[in-house]
Amino acid sequence: MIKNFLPEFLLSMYIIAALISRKARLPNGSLIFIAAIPACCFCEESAKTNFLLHNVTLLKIMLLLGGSVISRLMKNDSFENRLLMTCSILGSLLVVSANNFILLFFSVQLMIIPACRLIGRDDPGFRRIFFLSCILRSLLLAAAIGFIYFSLKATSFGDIRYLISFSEIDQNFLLLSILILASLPLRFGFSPENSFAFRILREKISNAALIYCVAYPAALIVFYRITANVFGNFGGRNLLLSAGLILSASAAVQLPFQNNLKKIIACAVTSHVGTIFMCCAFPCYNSANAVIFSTASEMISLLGIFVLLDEVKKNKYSEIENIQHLNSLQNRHPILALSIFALFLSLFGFPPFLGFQSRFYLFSAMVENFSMLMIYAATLIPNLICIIKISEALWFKKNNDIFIFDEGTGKITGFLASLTIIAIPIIFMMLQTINNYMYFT
Amino acid sequence: MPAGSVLLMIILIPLLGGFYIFRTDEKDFSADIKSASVWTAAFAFLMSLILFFSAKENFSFFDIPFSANGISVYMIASTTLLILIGVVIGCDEIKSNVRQFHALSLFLESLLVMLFSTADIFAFYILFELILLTAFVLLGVFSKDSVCASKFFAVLSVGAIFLLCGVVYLAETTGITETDVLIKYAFTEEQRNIIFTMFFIGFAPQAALFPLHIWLPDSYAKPPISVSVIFAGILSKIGVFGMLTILVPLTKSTDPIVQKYIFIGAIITIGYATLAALAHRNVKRITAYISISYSAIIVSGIFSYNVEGIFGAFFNMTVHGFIVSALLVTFRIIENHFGTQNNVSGVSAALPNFSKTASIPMFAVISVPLLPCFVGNFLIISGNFNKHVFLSSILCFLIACSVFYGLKMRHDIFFGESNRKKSKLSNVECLCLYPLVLFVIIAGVIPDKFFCFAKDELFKICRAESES
Repeated sequence: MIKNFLPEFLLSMYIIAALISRKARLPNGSLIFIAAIPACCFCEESAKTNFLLHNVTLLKIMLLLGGSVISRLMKNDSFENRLLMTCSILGSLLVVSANNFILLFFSVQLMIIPACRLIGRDDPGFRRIFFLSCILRSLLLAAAIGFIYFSLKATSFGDIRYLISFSEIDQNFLLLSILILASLPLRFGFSPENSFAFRILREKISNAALIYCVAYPAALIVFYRITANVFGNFGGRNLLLSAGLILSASAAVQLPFQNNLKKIIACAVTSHVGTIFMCCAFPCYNSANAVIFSTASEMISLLGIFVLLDEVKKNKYSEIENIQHLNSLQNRHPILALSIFALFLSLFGFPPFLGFQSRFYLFSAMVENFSMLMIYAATLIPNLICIIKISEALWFKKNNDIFIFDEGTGKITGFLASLTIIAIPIIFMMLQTINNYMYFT
Repeated sequence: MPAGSVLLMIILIPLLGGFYIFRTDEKDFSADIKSASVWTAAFAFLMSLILFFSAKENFSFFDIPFSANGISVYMIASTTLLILIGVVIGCDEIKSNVRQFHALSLFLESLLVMLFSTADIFAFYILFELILLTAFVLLGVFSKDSVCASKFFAVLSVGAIFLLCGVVYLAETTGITETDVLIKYAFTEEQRNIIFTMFFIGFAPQAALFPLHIWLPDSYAKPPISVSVIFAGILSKIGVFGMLTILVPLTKSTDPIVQKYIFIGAIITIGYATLAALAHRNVKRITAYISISYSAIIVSGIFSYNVEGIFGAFFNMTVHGFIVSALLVTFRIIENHFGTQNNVSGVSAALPNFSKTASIPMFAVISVPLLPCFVGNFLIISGNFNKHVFLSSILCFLIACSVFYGLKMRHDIFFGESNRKKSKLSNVECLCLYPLVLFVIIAGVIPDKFFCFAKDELFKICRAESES
């Protein structure tokens, strides 16, 4: 049992140790997350679910990597905040590996409650909204689980895999789909300024990173695992496909007009939700891979951008949120410029980065519906405009002397370069091969 | 030495050279950067000559199949030579961002060699996108006009999305990505139509077919000559290379009506390019329209689906890069001696020997017999004549119209009065111009020898079509 949940066990031990030695300073959080990464390879239990083992392993690795980065961002934060962050990451790890509804529900709560404590410290209004939305979603998830048990008279209640073999859904199908859709985190709005996504981005960078790089990816994976089973077996594909295309198109329409890095992130995550919807509409090996790679690429890219924003904030260049403030960065810090460029390329799905892998797998899953594939391909065109803008700023424009790293350039460059290397999917391919071998033998 | 090892060296050495230059400080080591770049490019060129004459073979590297076949060796040799010439010109021409120019040129060289030699359709797509990105940055940094670079990137990337759809469709329907195996696959009519549509739209912007040519004139005219040489000589040939080596072997033949429409599209492009070349005074812009015109001629040859057309298209595809590059080098030399490229006259009085040599690529453009474009154009027209008599006649007329802008350009530049004293070309100028002109003469005088290494590969493409 412990072997299957080794990273979670390590993190729990760490939290307990930290609670016992409350007076003492918490040991370096980054290290414990990095130390837990190899433990992910021992996870076997999740292979019994429809989700392949390597997918779970990769996700756990990404979450732990996110945890190490966030703990670095929270280096000067209080003990309580760092502990809450660690609890939230523990919850997200459990969410990814849970194959049982009860465990899933409690893991989601473990992930959400600490996040609610962290979010909105400077903005009580938003804190209330965030808290209420979390409560609402938890209730909906509970209702969905209860619905499966009571209304559909499920026999093996605890196991998520039950949904695969379930065949008596008929008139209750609509209600179930509404519940599942409603339990999805609200990541989008009618405009980037008013969207829930952008309001979270206005938070402290470490909090935004916690929500974007840990909580949302984990929640989306849960959504995929439940929804892909239900919709894959009983239809409803067109509903999801249309929703996914509308989301991608809404992001595509907004993206070319954005100059603010945070608004670009908000649009990119909206597009990502669209991708997940479309993956759910085509449940197969390729779509599972698309979900993993798109989530991983988004996590890596956003982590890089958050680290960049944090570094800038430390250097007191508060206006850095705009793309134009990266002007001529390549003249002063070529490796840093190259890393930022690569991370954005990965975010927008350019080869040979992780984001492209996700696009490729999604295209492969959608090939049977070629006309829809072409419509989805058309929504990717505005990404080009955004890449052109970023390239212009990084490579072509003249220096306006706003964004200069005087201190710590080496560190941030090294860090972003490392993320870029991770964004090149060779490492993921190797892991996939190893895990496939383990799984099939 | 086995061809596989030689090819690997041609790929890796520019890549390593590029990384070394990228990490070198530009302020203190500018001379080192230039010499490292020139020597790396020269070494890659020498290795490509070895590859050209060595036995052709297939090999794989990191599970990606590569093939040093009859067609790819020509493209690799022309890539390495033109990059070398571009880098040599750039040593003198590029004054700021020296590191970026040399590093990006070498990266581009490595990527292009990989693209021309890969035998995997998925790897081809990835390399195609990487080349777009690298060329976009190169163009943006050195053209000093982000609109021109953005136009280039946007138009070609939209094409690349279609290409990706085609690649995914192929990979999913067949489960194979190796080009050699895919060629033998029996596609249904519907599958073939989808593949043709996706790949044609994917390659059409790169082949600069009207109205997708909008990126090309600016990308020749705005950057310095050293960058234009790379764009004109190699990058604009990727589209037609893809059509010849991937699209045509995969689809084998297409509906005669589609062939006719493509032919009409090519004729419209040539007509438009001819009129635009006549209207412009800027010599680099005229060269760009010449390039658009020749790309369309090549496309009309490829989609004639017969031996003459395909041989003519391959011949033009290879030699045209050298002719256009020779023209651009000529303009650079004129700029060196006269201080400007445009509105120059009386060059033959100031540089008599140079004017004789530089006239050869200009004559080649207007398809003078015993020069290579005559051979290529003749084959393409004869390949199309049986199928579309009327349209081929129009093509013939439009090719003949090239005389107007070719001779006008030559007349404006070389004749007239000049106050300058007689002078000679420097060694570097000779080194850049003479090999290109020599190659143009050889290819025109003995075209059958020119085809000798590519014959088998081209016949393979033609055989597949006749079988279908």
